[in-house]
Amino acid sequence: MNKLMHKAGVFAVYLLLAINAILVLGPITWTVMASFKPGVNLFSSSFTDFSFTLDHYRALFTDTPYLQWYANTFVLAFSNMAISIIVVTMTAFIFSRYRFKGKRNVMMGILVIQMFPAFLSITAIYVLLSKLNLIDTFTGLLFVYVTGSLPFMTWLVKGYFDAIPTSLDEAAKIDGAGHLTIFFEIILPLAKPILVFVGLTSFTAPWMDFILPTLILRSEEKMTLAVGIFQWIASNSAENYTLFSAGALLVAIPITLLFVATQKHITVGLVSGAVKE
Amino acid sequence: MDTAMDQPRVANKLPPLSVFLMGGTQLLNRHYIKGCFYLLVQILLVLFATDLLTALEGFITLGDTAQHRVGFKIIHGDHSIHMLVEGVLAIFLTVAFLAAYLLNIKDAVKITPCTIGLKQQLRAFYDEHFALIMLTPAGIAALAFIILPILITVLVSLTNYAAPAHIPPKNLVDWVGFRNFLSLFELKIWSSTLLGVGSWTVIWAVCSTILTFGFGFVLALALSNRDIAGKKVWRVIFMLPYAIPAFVSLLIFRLLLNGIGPVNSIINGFGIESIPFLSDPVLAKVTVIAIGVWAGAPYFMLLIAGALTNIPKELYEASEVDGASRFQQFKEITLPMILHQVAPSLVMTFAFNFNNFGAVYLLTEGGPINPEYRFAGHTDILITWIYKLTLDFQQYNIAAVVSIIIFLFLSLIAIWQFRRMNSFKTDVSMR
Amino acid sequence: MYYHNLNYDLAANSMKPIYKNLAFALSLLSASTAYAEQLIPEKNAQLLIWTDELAMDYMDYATEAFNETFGYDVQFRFRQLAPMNSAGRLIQDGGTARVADVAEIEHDMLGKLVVSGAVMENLVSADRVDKEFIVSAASAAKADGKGYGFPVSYATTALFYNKDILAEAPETFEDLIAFSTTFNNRTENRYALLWDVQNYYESRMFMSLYGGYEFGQAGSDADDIGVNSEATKRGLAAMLKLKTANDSNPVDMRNTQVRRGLFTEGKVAAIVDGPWATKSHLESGVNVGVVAMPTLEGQHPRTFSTVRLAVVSSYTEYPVAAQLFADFLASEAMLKKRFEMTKSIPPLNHLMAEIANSATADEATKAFIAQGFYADAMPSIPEMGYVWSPMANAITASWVNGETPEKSLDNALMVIKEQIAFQE
Repeated sequence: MNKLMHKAGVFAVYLLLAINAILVLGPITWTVMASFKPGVNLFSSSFTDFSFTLDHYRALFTDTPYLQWYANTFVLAFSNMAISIIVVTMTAFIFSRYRFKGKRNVMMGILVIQMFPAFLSITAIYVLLSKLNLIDTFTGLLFVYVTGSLPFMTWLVKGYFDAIPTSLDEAAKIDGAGHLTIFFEIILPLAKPILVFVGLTSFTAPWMDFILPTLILRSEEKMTLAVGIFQWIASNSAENYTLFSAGALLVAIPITLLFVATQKHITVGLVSGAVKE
Repeated sequence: MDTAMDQPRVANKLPPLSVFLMGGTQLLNRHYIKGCFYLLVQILLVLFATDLLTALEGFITLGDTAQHRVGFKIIHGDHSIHMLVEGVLAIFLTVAFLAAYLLNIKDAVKITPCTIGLKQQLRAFYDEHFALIMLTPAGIAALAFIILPILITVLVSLTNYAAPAHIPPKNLVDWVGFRNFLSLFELKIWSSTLLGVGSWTVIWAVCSTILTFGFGFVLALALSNRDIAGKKVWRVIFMLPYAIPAFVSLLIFRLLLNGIGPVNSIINGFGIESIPFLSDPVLAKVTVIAIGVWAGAPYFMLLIAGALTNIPKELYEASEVDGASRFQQFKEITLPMILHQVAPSLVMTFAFNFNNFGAVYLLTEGGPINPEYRFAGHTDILITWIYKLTLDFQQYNIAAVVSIIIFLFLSLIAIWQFRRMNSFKTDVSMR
Repeated sequence: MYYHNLNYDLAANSMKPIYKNLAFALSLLSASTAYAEQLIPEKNAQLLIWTDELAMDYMDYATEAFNETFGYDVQFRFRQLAPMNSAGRLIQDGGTARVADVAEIEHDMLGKLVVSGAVMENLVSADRVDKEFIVSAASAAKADGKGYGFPVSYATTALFYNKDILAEAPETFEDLIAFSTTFNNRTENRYALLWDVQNYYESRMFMSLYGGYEFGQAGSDADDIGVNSEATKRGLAAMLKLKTANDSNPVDMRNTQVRRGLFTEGKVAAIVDGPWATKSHLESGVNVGVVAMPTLEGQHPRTFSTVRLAVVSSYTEYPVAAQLFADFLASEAMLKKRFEMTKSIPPLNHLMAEIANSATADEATKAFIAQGFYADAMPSIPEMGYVWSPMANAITASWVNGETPEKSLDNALMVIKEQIAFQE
């Protein structure tokens, strides 16, 4: 009797997993199929329509600045990652290891501010960037990306650093290690998982975001992938859903692989940072 | 961060030199670094004093002649919004200068002659102010791109910066006090939009957060079940929505769920009429939440899967000895332990969803149209409404007011969370 | 003067008026002679052009012709941008980021652009525009009595129908209603008639059946708002009858691709569309016919007509080159070429008459020109910007939620008035 119940339970779990897998894989499969479908219109495309063409993938590279956008996004993503890691770890190190006046208030401020997306004060950011002549530049966009994620990341990394026993730095201090030696040789090597997480999150941000580049970038040759392929379906006169599907898949595949490859670190990052209490 | 107060020294009858020449006393006492710094501040002030005053004046007037054109030639005028920004910067600098001046005097009063050389002074400065030096890049960035924009947003809400009549540089912008706030709360069509959109924003944020958490929890539990095979594969499949850029999946859903889209054509195949997933006011809201859960559940799945491994095995073993059922174990061990661990993430997710622009805009663009609203549809949340006000209608002033409302609301929640956290563990996180 | 030497063979017959009016316009300026001599593009001028996807190939051609015809050496760059977005970008980015030197907009945005100072007056051919273009284009190019735009095409909507479904062109909407009772089927997405119901641009033709209007009879009087006049209410009530013929879910049909897609699949008997879609309809393989709007309750629906305008940004660094190029786009030769390449209807009096009477011109263009007799130019005063959303709301309230035209339109008037007052 108990065994039967147990079996039913396991079956129910499998059922749940299967249904969920269908819900997840269904739309993805459809997108993959759509990217191979002739024509531009997708509305009538059903799940059972199996026509096949590689035209859209060819068009991506021959008729559109897709490669250029890919390069742009990669440069942005890489810079964002590098700068974020440097600034965030420096800041988090200070907040984790040093005492100074007003620290409590600053921490509170960070906690409040990390809840606001840059988008909320976008008019002001736009005006500021235009005063600095940074509209339509990657530099301007990078400033906003790095500062935008700074509060949350700092909070996260500080949490991780807090968990590294201070006895380690104290021992090093007795041995005559300076501030930076402690930072580079004690803290950072122990913080690799969270660094991977910060790197991954800041690297993927420019691939996913499309609001800020819409507002800050202007020229077609400077667009990021998200903005570029979004415009293929955004205007009523020029919707091209199949091309969009092809373009979107080529963005999603590498990012997905990156996530799958680093999934251990993601869990560590999420748990150690967000969960730590 | 300064050194502790020394014993008060014999009072100098004369005011210290620093009152007139910043850093003077410090230099006389051979505190070269401090002295030069204060001196530099004063030199900069003297050099830019007129600019500072012009900027402060411009901040008050916001300009009096706009740019215009005679024939093919442009006659430049005042750009009100740039003047506003320069004014804010000028105020920042003035306050910073006053602070530096006061510090300078305070320091001069209690100064003792320096006995160490310049090199050692540098060394001591580095040691003493290491934290400050390291925080400078982040501090400047945060000041320039977080604090300053928020301030400017607040100021813009007090102006008439809106299309068509008040767009610089061809037109001037003026201060209008709290008129925008009054209009938003008093004019019926604005206030009912604010109320309607605002309450839906809260409902959306709460529902999507709780459901995302719930589904993530269920998936994590299912994957932690001892009797399930192929966990790695399942996990990778369920991770996909987290890894695929959200804008891609949202736009795909928009196509799939259209009234005549593929999903409905399957439904029609069974002879059932199309379901208006995105076009019925109530159903569209449900759909927006459901898709939000689709995209967000993996985050909690990963998070909770991690958190589950943090629960000590002994707890379960002990309760098994006590004869607790699996359900009791769940209720008394798993759930509270998990909730305790992910509570901060829940608040974070709430704030994130509260401002989750893409989840709404890419799926429905705020639609379907709500005849009772102004510039907003049934599924618009505050931030998408701001987007429309800003980009489609250039109503920057009203958009700023709505932004401020969001700021205030989220700040309250953040402060509440901070309090709660502090009461949990008083100073460990503040170490 | 400089223009004597120009080899303007592309537009030989229109050369004289251009020259004459150019000189006239210039003489109005204080430093007229000085300007006249300078009227060649600035050295190393580099113009950024914004136009929509359909006109890209034509634009390529026009820029080359511009340099070739006059022997100029102006550099051109293009950016594909829908006219709707162009206006917003000009206002938002003007004076901040690089905006187009010459952009194409729909004329209803002109008022807003002028008030916000984003566009520059037509300094080279305002007078020619006034004289040679059809009345609605000439007035569309003006704001506050001054010429700003260079008209490049004229558009209104007409009825596209599937000849395999409807043997004869519908003469009345009542015909379509009758036909729909046996034809329509929601689960199969079969509809006798489709249009973007929630879009005032398309639904307006019914609301003006009995003389409804927006801003006075001339479309320029912001104090005389006619959206809740008895005529408009009667028009909206008449439109509601069409729910039988068009019983689709209007939200799903907001997307042009959906409507055209269904029409192409042969599931829809007739749809409302404009000249910009003619090409794709003709190429879609549907046996398509185009006629001017049928009557409803014996009245002719009055469609909105729009004029595509080239405008010169006030922030351009090369105002002369930009003005000359914009003017070139509005020259007869170019308008003709554009018609050949994109089916855009040239808003020039005699070209339009020529096309309407020509035996070879296509059915669609003729239908649009015919509908032009029952079309009102979309108002271009800035206040027009406040009409769209309240009217879409009013239509939705009546069409979807069953509100009476009385109530929904009175409400629309209140919102429009409130918004206008708020801006002052």
